[in-house]
Amino acid sequence: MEINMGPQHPSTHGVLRFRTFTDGEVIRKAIPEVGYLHRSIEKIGEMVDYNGFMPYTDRVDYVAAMTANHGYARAVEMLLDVEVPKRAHYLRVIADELCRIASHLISVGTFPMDIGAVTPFVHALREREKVNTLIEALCGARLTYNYVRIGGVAFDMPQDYPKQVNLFLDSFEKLMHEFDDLISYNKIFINRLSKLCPISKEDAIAYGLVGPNLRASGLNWDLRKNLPYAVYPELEFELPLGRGEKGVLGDSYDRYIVRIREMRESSKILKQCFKQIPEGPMMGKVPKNIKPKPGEAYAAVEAARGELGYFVVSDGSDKAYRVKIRTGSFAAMSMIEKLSRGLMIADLVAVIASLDVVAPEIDR
Amino acid sequence: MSNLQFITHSIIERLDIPVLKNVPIEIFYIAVMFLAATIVVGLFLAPLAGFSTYVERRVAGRMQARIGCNRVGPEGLLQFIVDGIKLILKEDTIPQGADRPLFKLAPYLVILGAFLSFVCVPFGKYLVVANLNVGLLYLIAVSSLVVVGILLAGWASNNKWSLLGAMRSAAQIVSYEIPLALALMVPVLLSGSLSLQDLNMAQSGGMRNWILFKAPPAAFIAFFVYFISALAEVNRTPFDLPEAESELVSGYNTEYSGMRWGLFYLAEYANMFLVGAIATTAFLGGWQPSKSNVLFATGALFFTLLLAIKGLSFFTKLVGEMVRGKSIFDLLSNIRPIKFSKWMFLAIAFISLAGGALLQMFANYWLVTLLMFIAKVYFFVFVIIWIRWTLPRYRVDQMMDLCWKKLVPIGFGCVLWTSVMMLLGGGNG
Amino acid sequence: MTPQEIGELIKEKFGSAIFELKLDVKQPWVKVEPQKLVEIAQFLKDSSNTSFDFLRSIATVDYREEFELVYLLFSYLHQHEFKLKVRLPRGNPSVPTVEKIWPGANWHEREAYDLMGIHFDGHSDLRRILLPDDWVGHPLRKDYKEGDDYHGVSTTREYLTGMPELPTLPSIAHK
Repeated sequence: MEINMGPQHPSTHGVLRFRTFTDGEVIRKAIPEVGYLHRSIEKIGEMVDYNGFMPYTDRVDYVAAMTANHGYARAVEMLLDVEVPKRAHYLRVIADELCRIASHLISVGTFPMDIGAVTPFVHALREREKVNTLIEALCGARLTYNYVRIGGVAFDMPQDYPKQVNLFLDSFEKLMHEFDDLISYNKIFINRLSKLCPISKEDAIAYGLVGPNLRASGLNWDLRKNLPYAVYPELEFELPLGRGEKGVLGDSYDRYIVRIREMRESSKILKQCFKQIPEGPMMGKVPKNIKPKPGEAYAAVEAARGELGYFVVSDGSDKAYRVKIRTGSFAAMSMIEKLSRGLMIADLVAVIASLDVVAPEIDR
Repeated sequence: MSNLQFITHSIIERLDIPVLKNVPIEIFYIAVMFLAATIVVGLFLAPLAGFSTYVERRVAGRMQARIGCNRVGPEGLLQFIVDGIKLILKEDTIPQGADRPLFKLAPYLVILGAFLSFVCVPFGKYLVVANLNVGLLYLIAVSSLVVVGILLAGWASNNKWSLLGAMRSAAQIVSYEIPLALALMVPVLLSGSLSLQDLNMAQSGGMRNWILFKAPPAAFIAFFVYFISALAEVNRTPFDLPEAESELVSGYNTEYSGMRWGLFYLAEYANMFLVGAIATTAFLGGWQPSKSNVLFATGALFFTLLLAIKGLSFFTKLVGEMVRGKSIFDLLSNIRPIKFSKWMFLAIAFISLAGGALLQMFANYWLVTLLMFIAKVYFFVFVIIWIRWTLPRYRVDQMMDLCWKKLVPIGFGCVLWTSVMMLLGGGNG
Repeated sequence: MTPQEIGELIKEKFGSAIFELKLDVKQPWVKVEPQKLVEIAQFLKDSSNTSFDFLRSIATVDYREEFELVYLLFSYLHQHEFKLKVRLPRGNPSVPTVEKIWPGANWHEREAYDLMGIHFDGHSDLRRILLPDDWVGHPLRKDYKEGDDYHGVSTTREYLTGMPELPTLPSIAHK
């Protein structure tokens, strides 16, 4: 029977559509149809100038927008060969990590909701509200920030920002304990997720999976550690890897628990940043009218969903010639058709949630 | 002469209309029966079920660290009435291509299955509409009407997702009736009768006479088997696959709107109440109050007030730390105490003691038994709500596995153990 | 291996197929003939010196006389990156698929087909991915003109026609 998990559905993450051909409860084939959120952001990149494109990059991943901003700024800075001051780097990293926590909170909150437990969602979103308030104190917006500028950042942080953020981090760590007690080690939750769709390391690399999904499959890879950018070389943190502790390596439970642990590492990074941040200017020496020399550059950051890369081609004018955005959810989505043979419908929902797919990243 | 006959005769004598004396008495019996059932169901049960919806929203809110429903009426108490009025006034949509007669029939079957069961449940000392001597059998039989209603709803909606939900639900309810009946065999064996009022009478004389503690550990385990199976029967989390919100929008009642949907909703809460009612009647002493129940009542009141005022953080923290492997002595000495002012503490203790003392004075009065019964049932309703908002749901095959491979053997084991113990003990447990 | 060395390796093995090289920039690239693409890609993936197991993206650029496909490659083992380019004539942009080498290329090639109109020979499921199946045209091309309407919904905003030209906003000045 052909069932349509249509674009409007309580549990697909964003507007996604799956045409599932099932045999009762068991899926024979699940064909994803994407493109419901296509906003032609790449074409717009050719029509607005470099600075004006920054708000559009927010919309590439509105759940964790700061990292998208950061990636674009890095790509254009590579073209311009401009040096960004240290303080701006620290502020970028602070904003990035706050966004990573926010994005993982959504992922880790909606995952149990898809499995059936609604309460963790409410708790996770309450914490995300606090993060939103913190980011609002930093740059004035709660969802789409337009904070990073080419050559630096737009505003300085408020005077008592370290205190505010440390206060939040203390309560956040307590909440993560409660969250763990509530759902992470719950027998029913583990039974639903363990051994569900294990993705081996080779498969993950071959299909281009990145981010927490790749780390859950066992590969020790993170752009912040292996190809560090900004001030990550000076920060100490660990990479949580999937270990297959409650099932098989690379199954859905691994992907979930990796995200929970990553949030702890992010809070560690934030605390270090506030201790080490130097004084200084917020912007480097960048011309008002950005006109890079003709050339091309590819730069990537480690966003919440993996490697968010921008390939920018410039022809010497003040508008980019081509902007290509490479996101982690696109690759994750392309794997779903292969993963979904033989699953039950309830499992399909769990797999989509475990890969942390957001529609704006796929469709751009 | 049964209650019904007594009531009927006294009404006819009071009325004293000569015409009525020629009508055969059976018609009056039937009329009074219908009246009694309507009173119980319409005036008592429907508001109770509606109130359960308010309790659910409030408790859910508190568990999610938010306030919950508190706008309409004082503390939100009128919400369910307003919701009922709203549902009646809503547009009645029937999807195109749906099977109209079946579509309209389905909610009635479901609500019938829920409400018919209350006819034989004793709410207090003399408060039972029909004291059937095959009460439990009747209950299990009548609650199967729900399956038919759900299947009709899913099929007639002309919607593949509803159909999926209905099929899952049919499989679930029909499978879980077996451990349910097996678990209920244990009280039947121990009390010697299928009638619910007899089950109540067999547990008189204090908490030690509760069926829960007889034939240890069979009745204790049978209680949990019953509770889990009953949760599956009423489609509550963790067994709410038929109405799994995140997969099927709302399962079999997706296409229903207005009061038709309201009937499904009401039936779910009435069923929850029924689960609690059978659990207390069969295992926890029913409406029986007696001296030891006073302590229970005091303790129950105390804890209810504590919980109501301070939420569940204390208990969940305790359980959470225990899960992590800490010893309970460590926990009790280290957990941050609930911040009560000592006046609040004294007030709660005083109210509980006063309540308990009053109960002891009027222990056998029918109103007290009614209140006792409702208190015990609401405790179960609260636990069911608690479970719903804490646990994720099972997948279909895991749920079937739980039923057939785990609960049915355990149920059989309980029945066997009880029978053996009764044989050896030569009587009750 | 440094990118320069990778470039040299490709040059010595497939010298005839190379159109152009640029090895002295930060992110060097090699431009090859379309027909030899699959062979070179297979070599880059399998050879133990390079082992490019991760295809980051397939970017398509429309230089007005021709198309260019950029394959951004990366190797987790050696942690080096490389760019492989292919130049395609505008009239008939078609290139063999690398789906067999990197399965993740499936969707990237579908997107390239959808938005730029490049045909991939041998692709298992070449159909539009981001745009509706009945869309006409390939939007990312520089000469793309939107149709007047789509299924009856007009693409111009009528209330804006006849209004004076809006001034372009200045780019966001930094402090």
